[in-house]
Amino acid sequence: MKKKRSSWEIIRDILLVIQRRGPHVKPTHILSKSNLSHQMLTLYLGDLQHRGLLVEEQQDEGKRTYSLTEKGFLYLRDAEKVSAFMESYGIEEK
Amino acid sequence: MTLPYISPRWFMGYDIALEFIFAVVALAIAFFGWKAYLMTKQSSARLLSLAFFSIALGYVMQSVFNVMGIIALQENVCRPLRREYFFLFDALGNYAHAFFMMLGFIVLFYMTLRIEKPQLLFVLFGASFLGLFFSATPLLFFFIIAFIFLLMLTIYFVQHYHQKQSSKALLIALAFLFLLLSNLLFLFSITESMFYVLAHLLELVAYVLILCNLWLVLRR
Repeated sequence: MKKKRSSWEIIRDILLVIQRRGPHVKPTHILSKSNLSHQMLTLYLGDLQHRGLLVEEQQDEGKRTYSLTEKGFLYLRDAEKVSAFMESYGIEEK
Repeated sequence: MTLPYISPRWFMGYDIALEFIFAVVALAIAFFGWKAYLMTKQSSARLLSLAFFSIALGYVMQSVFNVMGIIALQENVCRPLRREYFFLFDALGNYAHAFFMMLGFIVLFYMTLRIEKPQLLFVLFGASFLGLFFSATPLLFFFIIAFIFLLMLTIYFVQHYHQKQSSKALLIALAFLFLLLSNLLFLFSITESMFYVLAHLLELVAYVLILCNLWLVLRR
């Protein structure tokens, strides 16, 4: 059985989806790749915007998209280091 | 506490420098572990950080008391008094080192168990520290207990390496293997002073490996 993701892992996964697919990613794409319910994704996206890790933008055709901010890129870089560090000591997320 | 091992005279000073280096490496791991905890809020990252901070304190205390002992040897007082001071600082350094190192190893061991039972931590602390303070030969007791904890930790990190097959996990497994061997040599340094030197060198290899792992992580 696959383990339940921690809040930190979910945040990292959302930011990774935006980084890989970016710079402007539609919420439907994030939804399909992040394995979250619509309600949970809305909560996480709001939190990440509040923390300044990503920004919501309105495209010409009226569609909403999300992009990583500079702080978001830095957070993701740190998150990868922390993940590698924890993995080397065998204390990766439960 | 009587001196349980003899450091060769030529090695005095070098051991202090090495302990200072070990403290710096352990502090770096404690710092990055804390950073990991702040980011992930995982209790295991907090335990890792606390364990390495305690280990760093163990080395700092030992090197500070060793320096004080050397200074005491050069004091302008009669020779027997100088020796008294030297042995006093040496004993204080050994006690402080044993206390903080044991604390660090216990916390690391608890971290590897991956269970949230503070009672278990309390029992491990209680049994180890009561043994340390009531033993007739506290340092010998410390080295034996430390050996058991290091053996468990080495097994855990080797098993982890077998699961992950990553170079970083290998570095940590090897580092703990060297720490285990170094601890074993400290046990034998009671009878042969060269073991004291060899134990320090093995410890140096272990901390270099830990530092290499940190460098591999940070250069990403």
